[in-house]
Amino acid sequence: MMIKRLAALISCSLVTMAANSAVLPSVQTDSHWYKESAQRVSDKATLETKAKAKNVILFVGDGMGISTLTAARIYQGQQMAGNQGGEENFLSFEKFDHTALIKTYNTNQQTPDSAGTMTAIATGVKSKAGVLSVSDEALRGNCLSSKDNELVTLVDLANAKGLSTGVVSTARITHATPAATYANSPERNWEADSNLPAEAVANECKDIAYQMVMRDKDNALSVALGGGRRAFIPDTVTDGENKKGKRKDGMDLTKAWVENFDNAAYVWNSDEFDAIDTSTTDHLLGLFNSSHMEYEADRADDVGGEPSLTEMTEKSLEILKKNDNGYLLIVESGRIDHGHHAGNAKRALADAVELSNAVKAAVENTDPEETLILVTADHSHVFTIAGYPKRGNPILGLVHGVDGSVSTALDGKPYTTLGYTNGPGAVVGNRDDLTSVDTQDKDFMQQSLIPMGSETHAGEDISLHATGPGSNLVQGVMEQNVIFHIINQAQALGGTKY
Amino acid sequence: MSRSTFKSVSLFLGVTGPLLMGTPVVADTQSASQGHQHVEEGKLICDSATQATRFQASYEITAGTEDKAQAHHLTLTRFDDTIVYQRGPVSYEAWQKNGEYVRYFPEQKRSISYRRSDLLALNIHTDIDKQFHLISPAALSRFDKSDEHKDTCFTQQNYTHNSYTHKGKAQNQGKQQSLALNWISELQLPASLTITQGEHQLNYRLTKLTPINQQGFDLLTSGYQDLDFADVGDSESDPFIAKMITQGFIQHGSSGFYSADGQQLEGGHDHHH
Repeated sequence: MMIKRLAALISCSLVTMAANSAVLPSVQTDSHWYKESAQRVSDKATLETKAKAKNVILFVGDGMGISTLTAARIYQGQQMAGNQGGEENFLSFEKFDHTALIKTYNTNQQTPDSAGTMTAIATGVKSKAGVLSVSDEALRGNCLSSKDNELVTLVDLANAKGLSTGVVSTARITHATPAATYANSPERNWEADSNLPAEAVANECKDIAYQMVMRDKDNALSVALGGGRRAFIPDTVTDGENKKGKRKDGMDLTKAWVENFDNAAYVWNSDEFDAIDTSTTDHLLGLFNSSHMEYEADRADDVGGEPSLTEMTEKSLEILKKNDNGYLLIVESGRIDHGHHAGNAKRALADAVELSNAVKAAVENTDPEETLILVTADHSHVFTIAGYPKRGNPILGLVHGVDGSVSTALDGKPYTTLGYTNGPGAVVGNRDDLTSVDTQDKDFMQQSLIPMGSETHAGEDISLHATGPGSNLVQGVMEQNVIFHIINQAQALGGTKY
Repeated sequence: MSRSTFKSVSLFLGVTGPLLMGTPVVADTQSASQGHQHVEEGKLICDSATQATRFQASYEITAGTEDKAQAHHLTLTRFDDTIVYQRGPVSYEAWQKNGEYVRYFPEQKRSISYRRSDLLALNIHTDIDKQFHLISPAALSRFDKSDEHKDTCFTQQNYTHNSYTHKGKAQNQGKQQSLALNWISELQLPASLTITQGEHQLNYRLTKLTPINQQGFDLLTSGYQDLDFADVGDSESDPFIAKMITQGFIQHGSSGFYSADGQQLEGGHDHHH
């Protein structure tokens, strides 16, 4: 039986070879499309992937659905000198060898939120929307119900193994996606103690900022960089950007960070960040905005000055690499999501490109033989790439057909390639005529169909890209909680009980 | 008032949308007088101790034609780097000198804060000087200065200005527009303002001007559960936010961000409730 199969396989293979040499014309085999893709397949055929990773870096683009990846790669490509239209470009992580599709639903929602999705990634267990690393047995917003339903996270496991851990985000560091990696809370909005209801206080639930800083020394984060300063300082204190804190308990958690941990530092602006000596700093807390950090497109306008996601990634790696046992770093690009919610594609795409830059920096600053790098999203958005624009048509522009003429809809008006199914860009009545509008402007809001004050998440799959040891596990269509298990297995975190 | 007239007026005024709104309500906030109050039938009620950066100003606004005019009230509360616009009981709004904007919903004790980048992402461009003075003080240099007189409390300077609106496809555009302004120099605020375009007229009249202290201002803006606008999209489980998402916090599109010839309108945002 086995011999028959082998014979059939050899036979088929020979037929294919013969057919190839006999049928394909040189116009085909000499094509750069043909040659480059053949080489790509050849490279894949000889690819060897190690099983065990010393280090893991997980990047999460909040709201970075597949249409966002496509649009961002074209947007970046069209800014490159000598581009052939931009469509041929790849975001840095799109060149990774292993890719999978990820199902994002929460246990109670077809279209998910970030809290439930990141809980799945961080703990290996899907849960409901709005809760952070507690099982869906807990009721959202109810402290008592979350007791004994807390889930152990990747950060907990990595710290227990003696690895260094870091969390970076351009959103508030207490926002749902980063928070699910280090906190257990039945309510994503409990970012400061002033957000806790009486029931939570009575049952001794702690706010998210508190949980981030007041960890045991052996389970402490080595790096925490992002926005959200207000949840860490008292409401009687005004920060360096003239914003008040939100803590009612009087605690200054920025001071607690420095006092609690060895060789610890706190920074709040880019000058202080740049001045950090990573050789002498083992615990770095950076809170660069009272709320979310600026969009990448607006970063230069920030009052105090903010580092980029790339700079935060590089600095984090400098600190984490000092641990010979390895590290786990989780990096979120948090504002892609916000740009989409505002119906503003350019800001969302600029942040997605910056995530690509950060991943590139991570690849360049790590050993591919020992570092697993994963790039994914938590969920998608109702963001579309539509019409039949010609090759090289500006991705933020009006649709121009292959003949170069502007395409019009049934109402006689032109339309943009990028749009949203719902959101603030919709109108009740006649849509605007964009004939003379600069749709590539940073502040242009894409048109959408269904009028809503805020554009919504979408329910289709998102992607997972991987390179390095263990990346071969990334294939097929997977539940989102499988990501935890890939990291757990590749890094041997020992997470056998959740 | 037609949409096109509304757009034209927006070129002069910092905030235009509420001109189309309904119920007139005078703000009910505390103020503290430290100077001498002047009260005279039909004239401006004022207090000579009012400071340029701490005051509460009540305006009567009429808009429309002689046959069909609507009356509204607007209360401006300025406290240092913040100015609050109150036009009705449903919500009121505050602008900060740094370009930030807060929308207050007093019945629900909820507020939504917009950072400058949030507004830009929504394609909302604002002239902060206009927001703080109703008319940008810099624009006065384009107006014709006439007589000046000292009223009960302050010096008032008269200005006039004639202009033509942008010529476009829409009805009523390309028409002559005239402006008559009575400007309180010390406070950089209009005592009265009339903009006429064809048979349409918009009139602002300052009726009361009093000082305000920290306590009075705090009563207006404290005790609210605030949410960043950037977080609205992730707060759909909050019934108040869910309602506001479907109703629209700030309306766009055909409300007039772009004129018929594709020009982006300055300050052309429109607030709906």
